[in-house]
Formats: sequence, structure tokens, C-alpha cells
Amino acid sequence: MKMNIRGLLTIVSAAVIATCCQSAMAQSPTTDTQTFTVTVPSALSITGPANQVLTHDTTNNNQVFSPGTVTADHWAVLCNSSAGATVSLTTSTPFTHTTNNTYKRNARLDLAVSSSDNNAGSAIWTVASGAATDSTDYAGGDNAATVQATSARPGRGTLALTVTFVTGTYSTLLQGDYQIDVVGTIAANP
Amino acid sequence: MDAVTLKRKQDLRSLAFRQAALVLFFLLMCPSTSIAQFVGIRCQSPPQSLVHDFTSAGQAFPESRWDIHNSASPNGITVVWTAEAFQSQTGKHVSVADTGLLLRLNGSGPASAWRILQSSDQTNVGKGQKAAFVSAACSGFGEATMGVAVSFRNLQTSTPTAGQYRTQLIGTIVAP
Repeated sequence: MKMNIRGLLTIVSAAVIATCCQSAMAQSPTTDTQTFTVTVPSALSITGPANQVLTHDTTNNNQVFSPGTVTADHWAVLCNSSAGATVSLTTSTPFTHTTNNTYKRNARLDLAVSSSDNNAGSAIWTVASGAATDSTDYAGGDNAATVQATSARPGRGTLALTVTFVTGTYSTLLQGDYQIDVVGTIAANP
Repeated sequence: MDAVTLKRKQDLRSLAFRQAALVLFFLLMCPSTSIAQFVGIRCQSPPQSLVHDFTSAGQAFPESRWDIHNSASPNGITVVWTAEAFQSQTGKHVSVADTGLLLRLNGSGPASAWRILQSSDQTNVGKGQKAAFVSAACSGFGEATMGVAVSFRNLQTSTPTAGQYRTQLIGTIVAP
């Protein structure tokens, strides 16, 4: 009787082990997955070109600081906010003599997009017609000029800024250097 | 009945039970053959992540290793990998980027049994293709190691909207 119980236990154990092994095989996976994650950091930047200098041609003609055709020498802007960004380029003064600030000449800013990422064939960065040109008018009390570019979605762009020294009458200019500082600011759109 | 005869009977009974257990084990385990049979697929690489460097519209992950085994289907198997477009959600704003897949056969046995059916594909969310597929097939019993390279492809520019984009690569044996 004792042997019968041992024998039955042997058979039952074999059956249990075999069933477990079968179960493990039946669960061999026929599908598996892997997750991929890309983190895109927030990016908002503006980089100005090098300082520019010219010598007046001694005529009554306006003197133009041309941005040139090389986009790498233009204002570089980048934004990856979902609503895009607005860039402002501003001078808060007219051209002013560096040692005698009673001598001034007006400054004019003209802005154009020289390169831009595209969305469905359209440039992401644009300059609104009313924001492409502005001038100081120190005689009329307006000492600042501002131009703007905007985007409505993420993207890079370069902005070509043309700065003009409005000469007026050359013979009334005090000799020396006249200077403005153009400040570029970028802000994510709300 | 003397003690020797009783002992012999007990030994014979014990032997009979063990033989019965052995036969039962093999009957349950191997109904048709004595070799374990199964089909299986396993990704051997961990979840992957990267930080976009803004240098280009495409950002590539290292190739992932997938092991596939078929010892159950004499007519072979087909394996399909699929992934949807990358997606990021910030509040109510959802951003997407296309997913690229590239499949490579890195090792197989027998080599002649395996072939790539479709080696590359990518989503094209702009045109309504929201999932990418690559596939391979085996014409008989065999096993293989496959490499699947996943890439992140920004839709228009090299400057995607900030966020954390995710997709899941699913490998499936579809025809065992």
C-alpha cells in the first residue's frame, strides 16, 4: 500500500511537470514591443551679425549698410514654440555723433526674410507689410525705429536688415563717427 | 510469503509505476515529436531615448536587436514590425513627427530560409499614412536575428515643436 502511494505520487508529479512545461511553451511570445522617445528641448534664440562700418561718400546721398546676399551674415532666429515667435529689431536713437550728441542724422530700418523653414511650401517666417520699414524722426520727437518679423509655428529663419544713414545736407555734418545700436529681441508668441 | 518474495514484488511494482510516469510525461509533453516546438519573437534591446540636436530633420536611434524562432511551423512564418508616427502632447496641443523603419537581417539559420519582404518604410502623416511597416519571412523551420533601426523625421523643418515624442515598435509573428 505504501508503495502504491509512492508510485501514484510519481505519476502525478510527472503529469504536473509535463503540464507546466507545456504551458510555458504555449506562452512563447508571438509579439513583443519596444518604446522610443525623442526629447525636443525648448529653443528660442536670436543671433546678430558682426558690426558694420562705412565711410561717407561726401555727397548728399543716403548711406546704406547693406546686409549682403550671404544669409550666414544676417540675423539668425530660431523658435520651436508651437505658436511661433515675434522678432523685433530696434534702434532707440537716430545716428548720433559719438563725441558731440547735438549732431544727429535719422536712421531708417528695412527688414526682409532672407531664408526660412517652410510649411507646406510657405515660409514660416514673414515680415508684415506694416512692420517692414521704420525711421527715426528726431526733429519730430521720434527717436526710435522698430521693424518686426513673426512666425506662427516652429522654425529657423534669417532676416536681412538694411540700415540707412539719412544724410540730408552733407555740408552741415560735423566730421567724425555717427553711430546707432540695433537691438534684436525674440519672444515666443502666447 | 517470505520477506524476499515480498521485497521483489514491491520492487517490480515500483518499477511499473516509474515506467508509467515516464510514458505519461512523454505523452503529455510531446504529442507528435520528441523536440520542443514553438514560435517566438523577442526584442533584446531596452527602450530607447534621445535628445533632438536640431542639426537635421532626421534623428536616428541605434539599431535594435530582435530574435525570432520557429520550430513549430514547417511552412514558415512571417514577421511584421509596425510603428505609428511619433506623437507629443502638451496640454491640448498635439505635435507629430514621422517615423522611419529600416529592417536588416543580421543572422539566420538556415540562411536560405529567410528573406526580407520589405526593408524600409516611413509614416507620412501629411498624406494620411499614420503607420510604417517592415517585414521578413521564413520558408520553414529556422531562427534569425533581425536589426530594426527607427528614426524620427520632422515633418517640415529641422526645428520640431518642443516636447517629448513617443512611438512604440511592435514586432508580431503573423502567420505561424
